[in-house]
Amino acid sequence: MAAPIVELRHVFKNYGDTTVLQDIDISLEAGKFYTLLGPSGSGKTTILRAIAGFLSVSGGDVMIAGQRVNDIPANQRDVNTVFQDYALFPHMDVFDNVAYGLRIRKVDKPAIMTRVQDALHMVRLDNLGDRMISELSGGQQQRVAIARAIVLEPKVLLLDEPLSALDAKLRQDMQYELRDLQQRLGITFLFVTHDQEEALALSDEIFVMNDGQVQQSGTPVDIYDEPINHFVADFIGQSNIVTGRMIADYRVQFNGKTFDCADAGMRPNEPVEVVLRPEDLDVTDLEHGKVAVRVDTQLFRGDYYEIVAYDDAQNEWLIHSTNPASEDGLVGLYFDPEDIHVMRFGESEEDFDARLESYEEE
Amino acid sequence: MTFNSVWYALLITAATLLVSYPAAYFLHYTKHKQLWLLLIIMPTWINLLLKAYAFIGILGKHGALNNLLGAMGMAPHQFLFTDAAFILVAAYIEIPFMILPIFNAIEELNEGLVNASKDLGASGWQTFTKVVFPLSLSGVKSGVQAVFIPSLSLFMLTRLIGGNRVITLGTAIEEHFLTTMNWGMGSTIGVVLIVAMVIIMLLTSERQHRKGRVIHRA
Repeated sequence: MAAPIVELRHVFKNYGDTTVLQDIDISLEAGKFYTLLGPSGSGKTTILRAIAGFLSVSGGDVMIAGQRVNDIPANQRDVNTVFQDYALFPHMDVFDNVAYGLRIRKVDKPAIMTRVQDALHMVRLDNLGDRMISELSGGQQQRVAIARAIVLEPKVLLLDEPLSALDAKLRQDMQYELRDLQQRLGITFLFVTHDQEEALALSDEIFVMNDGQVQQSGTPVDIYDEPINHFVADFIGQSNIVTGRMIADYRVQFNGKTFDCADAGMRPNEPVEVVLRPEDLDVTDLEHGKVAVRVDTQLFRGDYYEIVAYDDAQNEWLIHSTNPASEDGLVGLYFDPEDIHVMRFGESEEDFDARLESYEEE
Repeated sequence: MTFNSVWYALLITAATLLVSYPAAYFLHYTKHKQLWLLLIIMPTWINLLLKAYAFIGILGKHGALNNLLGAMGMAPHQFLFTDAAFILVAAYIEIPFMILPIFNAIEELNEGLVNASKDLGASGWQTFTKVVFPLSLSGVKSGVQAVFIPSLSLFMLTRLIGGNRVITLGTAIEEHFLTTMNWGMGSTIGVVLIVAMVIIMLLTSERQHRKGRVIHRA
């Protein structure tokens, strides 16, 4: 495995008594698309700013390409940032904005010309070089901001919620473009977002953040299918979370019944939380269902019906179904053993990974 | 006389700008900016005549400055009624009108632009010359307007501090109307003053329109 291009080792950041980053250990490999995902205030932008050099960390090491950069100012770090509000220079036209970094670096004129044009071509803004920033749409400004950063060919591109100001349709188009761009350029992207769908769609690897800590890291599929705790399960996608008890390996009890499941490696009778994704629940009749629920409301969402139902214990169940259910009717919910995901309370990521490995290899 | 007046106004504006730009820039980065701003604005609440007399007290032959120099063993100097004194006092009076627009322009500047510039590899000085200064030019222009035009027609200060040796358009108008009773000449100088004002307005505002200042978002 190649040496990591960016590495944070035991990084802390405090403002007075408040800790915004707590023992962050992250390492990024070259050429991959990483995402820091978390609610606002979880410290994800702080990590980005620490790597870019806009704030100094209170403890730990920030490494870029194997070199400790804690004391190196932002303008000498080989990373570039795409800012949330783009931060384009309003007194320059598009060309000058993109050429800014190259001129600072004293690149000669013909080279600037070709590199800026290449960068503008890369973000499909070929003929807009002489426009002023104020004459561009939000999506175009976004592309200029990306072009301005990639023209310098940084080892790592940091993107601070760059799509949050765009409307839904444009945002989706830009997601494809960003992914495509990252693969063409082959440089490492570190993308910050609070939008879990965006993170799942774009990333090679996601770091889920909360309260200044990395809760879980892994591929989008891992994180979606095997959330480590209540926070991750709740934040990534929608989920039904009920408390239960682990009777034995592959046997979990909740809602007063015992079900087969695909999880193991816990103490017998350990209290746990059980996650069931809404799209894994099938509406069926009472005889075939494993849980009986009463349908409360259902909303047509276009590609599916979102059904809210309650069981006898007044637990809320969220179901995504392609077919509508009869309202106010009693229906059964069916799910397969592998649809059940069991989470222990307070399990660390290391223990979690070790436990999964211990029984998945069998 | 017209040239003389423009020349003094230029000197006053330049002196004011030289003090005000750094002052506004550092004001932006200080804590308690509002307090400092208030301290800068407060002197403008005091009547111009009072301030002029205060300066006579400081600069006069038996004034504070000469007393201080005397204590250090230097012979008394003539400060009052010199060009330097006139420019000093005029600049002092105009400084708040220059600091405020520049300060506002710097305050409005998106801090993200400074970060962006550094992110792209620029040093602090490069960021200042390429981003901060060009974007605060609108404030400088407003400041120049607010200082240069009134400086053309200063006349009380030319009397009290300049000792009537400095003739500006303002003093000339007063002289022609009240002393020599040459109203025709007085009116003509008045028109010259108006034309000068229009020229300054055009010079300092034209470029803003062409380059299109960005208002809606950075």
